[in-house]
Amino acid sequence: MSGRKSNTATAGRKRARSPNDIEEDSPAPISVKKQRVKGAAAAADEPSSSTSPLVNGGLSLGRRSSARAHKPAGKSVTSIYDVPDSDSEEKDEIGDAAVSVSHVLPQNGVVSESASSPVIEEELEPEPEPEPQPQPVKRRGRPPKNAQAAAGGQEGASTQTKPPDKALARRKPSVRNAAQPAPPKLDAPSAKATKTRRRRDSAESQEADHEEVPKGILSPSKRDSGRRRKSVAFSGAPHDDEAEITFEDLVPKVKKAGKARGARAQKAQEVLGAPEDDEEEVEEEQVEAASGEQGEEEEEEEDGSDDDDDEVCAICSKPDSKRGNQIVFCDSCDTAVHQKCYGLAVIPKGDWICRDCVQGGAEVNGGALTHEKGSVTVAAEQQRPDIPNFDQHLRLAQRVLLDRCTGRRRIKLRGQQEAYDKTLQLVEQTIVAGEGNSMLVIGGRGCGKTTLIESVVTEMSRLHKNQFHVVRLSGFIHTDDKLALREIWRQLGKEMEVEDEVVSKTNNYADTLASLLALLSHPSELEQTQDGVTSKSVIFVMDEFDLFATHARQTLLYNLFDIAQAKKAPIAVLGLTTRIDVVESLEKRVKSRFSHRYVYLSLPKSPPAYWDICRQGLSVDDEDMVAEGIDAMLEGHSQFWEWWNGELEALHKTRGFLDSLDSHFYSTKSVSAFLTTCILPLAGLRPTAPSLRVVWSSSASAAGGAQQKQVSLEPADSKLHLLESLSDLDLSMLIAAARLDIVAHTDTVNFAMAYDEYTSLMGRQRAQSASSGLLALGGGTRVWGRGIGGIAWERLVALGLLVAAAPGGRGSSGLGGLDAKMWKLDVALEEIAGAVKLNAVLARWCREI
Amino acid sequence: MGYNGLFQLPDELVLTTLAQAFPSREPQIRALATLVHPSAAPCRNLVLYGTKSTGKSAITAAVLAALENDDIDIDDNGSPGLKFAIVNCVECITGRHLFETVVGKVARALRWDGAPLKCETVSQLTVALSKMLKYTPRPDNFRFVLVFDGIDRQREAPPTLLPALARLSEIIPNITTVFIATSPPAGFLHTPFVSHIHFPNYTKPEFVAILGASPPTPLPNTTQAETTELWARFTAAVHDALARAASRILPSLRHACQALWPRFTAPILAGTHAPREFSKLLVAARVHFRDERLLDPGIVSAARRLQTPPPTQTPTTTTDPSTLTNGTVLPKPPQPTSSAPDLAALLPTTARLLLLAAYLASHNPARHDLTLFSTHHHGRRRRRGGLSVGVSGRSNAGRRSKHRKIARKLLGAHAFILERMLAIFASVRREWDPSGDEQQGMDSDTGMAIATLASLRLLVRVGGAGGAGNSDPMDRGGKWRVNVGWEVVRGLGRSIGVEIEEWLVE
Repeated sequence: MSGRKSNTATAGRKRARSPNDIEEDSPAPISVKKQRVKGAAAAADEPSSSTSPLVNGGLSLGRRSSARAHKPAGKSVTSIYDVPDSDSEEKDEIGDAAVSVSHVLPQNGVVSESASSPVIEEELEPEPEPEPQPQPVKRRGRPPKNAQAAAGGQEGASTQTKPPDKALARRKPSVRNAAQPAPPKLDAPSAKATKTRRRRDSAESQEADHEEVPKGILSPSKRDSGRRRKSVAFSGAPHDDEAEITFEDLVPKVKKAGKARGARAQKAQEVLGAPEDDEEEVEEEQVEAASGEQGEEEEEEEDGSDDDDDEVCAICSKPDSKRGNQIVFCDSCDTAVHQKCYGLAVIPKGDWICRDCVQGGAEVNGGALTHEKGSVTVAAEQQRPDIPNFDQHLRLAQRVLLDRCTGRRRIKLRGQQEAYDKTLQLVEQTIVAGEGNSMLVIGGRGCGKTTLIESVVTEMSRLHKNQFHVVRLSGFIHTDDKLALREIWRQLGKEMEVEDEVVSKTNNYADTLASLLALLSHPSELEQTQDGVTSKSVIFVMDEFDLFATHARQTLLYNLFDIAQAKKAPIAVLGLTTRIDVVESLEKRVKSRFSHRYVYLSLPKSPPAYWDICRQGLSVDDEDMVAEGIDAMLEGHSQFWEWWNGELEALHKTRGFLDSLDSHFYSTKSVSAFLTTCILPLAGLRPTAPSLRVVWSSSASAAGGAQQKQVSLEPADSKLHLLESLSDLDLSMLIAAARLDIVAHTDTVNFAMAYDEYTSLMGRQRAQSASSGLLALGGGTRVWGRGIGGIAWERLVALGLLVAAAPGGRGSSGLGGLDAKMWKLDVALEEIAGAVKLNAVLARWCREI
Repeated sequence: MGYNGLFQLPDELVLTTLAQAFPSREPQIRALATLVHPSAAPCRNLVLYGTKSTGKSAITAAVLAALENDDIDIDDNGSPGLKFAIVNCVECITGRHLFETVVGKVARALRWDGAPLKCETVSQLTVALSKMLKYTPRPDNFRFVLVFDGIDRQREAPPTLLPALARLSEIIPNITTVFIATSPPAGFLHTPFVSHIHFPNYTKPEFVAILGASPPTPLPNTTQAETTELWARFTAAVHDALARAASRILPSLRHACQALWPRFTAPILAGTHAPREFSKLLVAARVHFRDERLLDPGIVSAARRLQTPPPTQTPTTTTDPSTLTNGTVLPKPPQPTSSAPDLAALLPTTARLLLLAAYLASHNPARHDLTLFSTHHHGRRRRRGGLSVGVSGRSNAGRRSKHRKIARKLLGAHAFILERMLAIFASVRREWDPSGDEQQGMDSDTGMAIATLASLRLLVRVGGAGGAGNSDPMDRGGKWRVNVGWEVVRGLGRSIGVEIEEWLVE
């Protein structure tokens, strides 16, 4: 029979069209909806979709009658609409297509009405109530028909409509409802309802063998537990408040709507099990649908404000809800709070659950919430210990520990007692006994040289206040002897309160040196006459001592060592350096005046020793409390620190923490490197979320995971991280250049060579892909011109991936321009493939030489 | 310790506002704010690194400005102050320029009314900064943030500059030094450990989100909402076609989008397509998506570009959308852009010949000269030298298995002695330019042409005396090098009917 056949054809065409739509909807999520909108508009204004409304109506009518006629045939009747019971997208679309076909009807309602059989009329009779729909529901854009459909669906045996489907189904009429009054065309949109009802009737009459028949249009699933309640909820007045609440929940979701529409549609299918969620999602879909795609936000806004009028914040009891301080509703218990009152900075995308619910509600909500890592509150509300003044204790501890981690407070030297004693003794001898001394402190970066010296100086100034001066020099800053001398002169002048004129008067090098020597020598020579009394000592701390040895003729070092050795004045020269062979770089005359006393500092030798030092960044020892300005008298002090140290011990036992500690120990042994990683976790602690363990694990997982809420403070390992931000062409040029290194056995490349290689590779690639029919439109096989290639090449140069081969060599004097200048590659071919995810073509270039 | 000593994070509201202003940079903003805020975890040195146009400088400026203003608001609570100065190192030519800029900016930020300090060295900079920040009494938690933007591009920076700047915060406790760099090598500050914050390049959704924040004005016959949606999909398409393929930086993508948008929406304006028909629009505008000038914008070609976008093409391609969707219509080859000025039209014949001769002298080894140019044995010149030539590199594919030889023309120009070039010129002159027979031997013409080429820097004198200019340019023993590329020479050769490729040995 032709009617049935052509109908199949229609559906087929619809289906055929839908993939196109999806293709063109590159953001896939919107596809379903878009297609539907199109389906509606299609009949009216798109001539290309050849199914005119009229034909459509006729067809559907034809189908209807034929469906009735063939009902006993069961299987064959349901061939199109009886989709298997599953959630897949495709089927939804088919269903949608079908639905939209039926919804086109109202526009040519005349036809359908005239063609409507008495059966339909009689089906229509039992549903008079929808027109006077209650206000709240209407505001939400729920079309009158929904209720019937829902009601109908509920009364039908074992028909559970999938909510997304239903939502979709409702959407179209609701759009239309906005424009036209409902009643006149009520019969038409309800055609579907009638249809289902009719089928249902027949299904009821012959329940046994045709159970699957009603499934057809609404594409139901077998689960119907939550379904019934839902349909009742929508039709009945008592559930109005519930509906409102679910709507208000939308407020936090407004932003999400734009992006994750498709995701939500999927989610809606996933969460079907829980009735509450189910309803919410359906509601949302409806709202979106009702207001079209664009209008939705406005509508929700205004509805939100409506609702907010009746809802007050649970904390401050004020109803006002402004932007930036909106009232948010818990998605679980409907508690309404202001953002600010609750300390909620951002309205989370997705569900927001208040803390009470989070604590108790994990199991209620099933596993769904635990996936939402975005809401900090979920993870955060841990066992907040019951300690008086807890907030204050915590913030004080954070202050101290963060200062230690960022290097603003010194941490104590551990395991370097011998070095400390030796240095202390030497400095003390200088200060007390007026000896002249020189010593070198040698140790790797970050092993505590400066800490050692500074703690000695601090100790000395405690013991012998005002009996010595400290002059600090740094090889990086005072890059020649002249500067260093002036600086010494300045620092001494400042400390000795020499008049400014004297300082400024001594302008030339010789003068400075002379007056400095005079300053240093003179008092001591005077002192020599009266024994027992020493002059003020001067301690020279020379950071980066090895750089002073590079100064011309080492005049400064010679003079300082000479003064120290000849006991002209009580000075101590402490040189700090990382180079163990620094003495070799001293001139002979300088070396002979050096006392050859050394202190070697070593990095921690074992993981426990390392942890012992690092621990200071995470906890404060009892004896240091006062020194750090922590008031031990404050109530709850000991409890807090007991609790804190307990937390720390627990943290130290966790896997991730130990791994991080070990990796630092085995790679650098740098204490400050480890402490730097502690900064952000420590700063992330809040009185409401005080557990270091949780913060640590979340930040650790964030570092590796896709969430990336926290950034890592570690420096980049190598230049390879740059490759991620390169475009395909940049990478192609880089690979081409790297290939030349191997293929042509050159260690330098210029742009001409690399571009030539690139074009030849690309040509080969195009030939291959053309022969295999894969020549795509996209940029994958597109050969870029020389100009663009040159830009890419320059970008590689700017990023330092290409290093000039010979600074003054050929091509550097503007000859040959970009083409001829030779470069060395800073990455190897085999590194490229490992550092960045390449597309198939580039990966093959890396593989196949 | 008083209330001031307590730990406090920067104001959430400020951070949230900032995070909205800079999409997809929230973790960086939070970390940065935490690490510079006086009462959070101010560190001594901080390195921000990432490739171009990832928001490093903009975010730093915004965060610091926000924190500074924020502190003014709550200053009466005794909250600490934060001041900052941002120095753009690229703008500072010498070290002294940099140091004095730093001092000037710091003084301005602190409203310091002392005499301007002279600063030639880091040492003096340290003293000057100490005077302003250390020796002047400041509130307990006062924090000064000194930002060196683009410090890796400081010119002629001595190797001690960066470590010295990193030591500033050791000497002056209440300073935080922030270095902004592209790709700092490990340990470049020579300090034990410095916090680094990485600004990765944007991903596609982030690019689209950023561009979506500033949609274009709606077209006359569409609504704003439609335009916004179309813009979002359009930018995604541009990203795939151009940005990811060739230039993944935000300014370039933005420029490409803005340049393409009028052409892309032309069918909508013309009423051919509705704004919803994205794929049809895309197919219609496919030609434009292949325009390389979008990524390589030039001033000169701008006028020409305005003419070339063929609005006439649009209807023709769109008339048959079905074939287009099937992909049966082959993409049109992009029109070759001749960006190089046409030398052939500008140079006299002798100069052209000389330039070609110079190119041959630069690119052919001298040992093949006899084979190429001598007429002794064969009575004719053997073009291509009778050697295995294969400029295209295809003919010697068998040898490629070992090590491929790089075409000599790719290696750039070699130096040659003027005498040799003149000899080549003399030997090919008659063949290449038969009309110039009667001028044979007019040396002044040759000398003039050489002088012209040299003054145009198409021929460059190399060697010790080259730059000085004191040596005689007509010195026949002088060394020269040709300074034009293969494309130009080929065009030049064709302009006088010579396939220069035939004269190249390799």
